[in-house]
Order: sequence, then C-alpha cells, then structure tokens
Amino acid sequence: MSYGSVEQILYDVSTSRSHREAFRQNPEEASGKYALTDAEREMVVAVQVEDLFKYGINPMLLMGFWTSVRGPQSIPEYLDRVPKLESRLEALPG
Amino acid sequence: MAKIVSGYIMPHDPSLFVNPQNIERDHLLGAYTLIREKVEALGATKAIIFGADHYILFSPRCLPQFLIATGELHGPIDRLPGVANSPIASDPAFARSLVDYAHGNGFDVAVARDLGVDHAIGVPAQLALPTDGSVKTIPVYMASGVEPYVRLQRAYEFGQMVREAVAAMPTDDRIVLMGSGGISHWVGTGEMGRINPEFDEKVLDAIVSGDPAPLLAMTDQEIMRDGGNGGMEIRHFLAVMGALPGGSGEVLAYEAWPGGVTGLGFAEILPSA
Repeated sequence: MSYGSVEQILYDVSTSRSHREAFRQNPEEASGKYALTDAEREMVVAVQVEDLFKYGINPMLLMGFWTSVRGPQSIPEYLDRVPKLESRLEALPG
Repeated sequence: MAKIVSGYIMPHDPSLFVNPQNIERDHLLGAYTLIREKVEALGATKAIIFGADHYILFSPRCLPQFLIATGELHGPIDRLPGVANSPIASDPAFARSLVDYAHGNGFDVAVARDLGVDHAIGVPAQLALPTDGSVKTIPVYMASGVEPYVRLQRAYEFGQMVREAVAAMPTDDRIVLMGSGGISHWVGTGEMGRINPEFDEKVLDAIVSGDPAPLLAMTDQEIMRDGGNGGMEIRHFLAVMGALPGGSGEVLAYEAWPGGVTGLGFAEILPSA
C-alpha cells in the first residue's frame, strides 16, 4: 500500500505541465518512477476515479487529476462516475 | 499599539468568476466591493487572511497544519476570470513578527518565504482590499482542505493567539481579518453542486451571534455530512471569531447561488465594545 505515492503522482500531474504532458503521452511510463503497487498503478493509469475515490484519495485532488488528463469539459462525466462523499463518512472518526 | 478593527468572512468559489451558466452575479461580486469600501473606511493597514490550500500549493510530501507566508506574494496562481494574478502587497517584517509570536505561544507554524497563493487567499486579497496596495496581506494557510485537518478548537485558539499577538505589537497598525471560504459545498465528490442552506444558516447564525459554541460542537463527520468537504473551511471563520470574541456579526450577503457550487456568505464581525 502506497497511498501517499498515489496522491503524489496525482498531484504532480495536476500541478506540473511537464508531468501532465508525460502522463497524457504514456501513463504507464510516467507512473513508473512512483512506488505504486500493481493495483494502484492500474487505477492511476486507467484514471479509475471510482476506485481511486474509494481508496481514499482527496476529492479535490482527484478532480484536478481528472480534468488535467481528460480536460475540464469532461467534468459531467467525472461527476457521473465519482462516488458520493456520504459513502465515506462511516470511516471517518466522529 | 496595533489593533484589530474588523473581521470578515467571504467565499472564493471559482464558479462565481468562471460563471459557466452566465447567471446574474453582480450583486455577489458587489459584496467584495462593499467589504473593500469598509476596509478603506476603517483605515486598515494590514489584512490577515485565513484560507485553505486546495491541494494546489502543498504536495503530499509536505502538508502544514498552519503556514504563514513571510515574504513576497502573488496570485492567485490558479487563474480566474476577473481576478488578476499579480503581486499582492505584503509586509514580511509584520508577518515574521506574527510567526515569532506564534512560536512563543504554542503554535509551531510553518513559513513560506515566497508564495504564489491560490484562490483562497488571492480572491480576498485582489477583490476585497484596496487596489493601491495600502493594505498589506498576511496569508495564513490552515489544513482545512487536506487531511489531517486542523482541529476546530485549534483553529479558534489560533485566532485567540492572533488577537494576543496583535495586542503585543508596538506599531499603530489597524488590522482586518478575513476568513476565506464557502459555507456548504462538496468539491470533487458525487454531491458536487449541492448546497445546504440549513447548514449555511447555522454557520451564519453563529457568526452573527458571536457565539462559536455551535460550530465548535460539530464533529468533522457532521460537517462532511451537512456541509460537505468544503464545509471544513468554517475553520477560517472560527479563527476570525477567536480573534474577535463577543464581536457582533452582520450578514452582508448570502445566496445559494445556482451558478455555483457553494453557499456564498459574506459577513462582517465588529469588535466588542
């Protein structure tokens, strides 16, 4: 489990033009330098926002990652796919 | 002796500036202008602005609970229509004195020696302060957008510390405080677009009454449920309230604006007599 590394690659793609371009061109290669498990790499490379959300990724970061890869015009698709926050609340400390 | 002359809360919802549905918003933009006019009328010289990083500035490799920028400023770096990304007047010496006071009084804040702020600080600084740079901005970032979140009580106590710090300063500065944040809003979750006016009213009622107890009594789970992950930004309002205990509040504008994703609340808190 390398949750922090997942967030780091999402952050880098969201905030750095060079990382964003590299990921768009070859996500497998761009993700190669991050210490991800196979399952994590699959979620990231395929931009599986449903699974990434369930994994606990910060929603703001997740949306930023999505729009960086798919473009801001794809927000409706993102919102169709991403789970609701209420699905996470049971796991939160009171 | 320096003094706090007023406090404000205001949103920074990017939708208000992008306005993708082209919905009337002049009355809401006018609330920023109203606050700027109030700041000018008060003769303010400094603005301490409390905001949250939106996972734009601080990476997973370093996530401060509290950060004060002690150097030069510009922004917002996440560009918004109608909000200039330009230098923001700062006062490094004043900011550093606030850091030193914090370090001596129970808050080991991090610092940024140069900072491009995001919209949480950039919107209030660019829209609610005089454009001539006469009011210097001191940004205070709190962990309200990325967990582990600053505890609500700690945010309030931070405001209390700021009050003490200001009272200890030998300058004649007149300081305004700004709590930057939407009220209810869900960002990047399946509920995005939902606004909860009941939650917003509860928060604004607490601000108007000057009683932080209803806000401090909330759990993070309750805030997430009723106010969304964006609702965690009420920490910034609590910091302002902590610095202005017993202050009387007034709502300047509020709307669950259909063009945005946030309960948009603007309020003023005046110091108690």
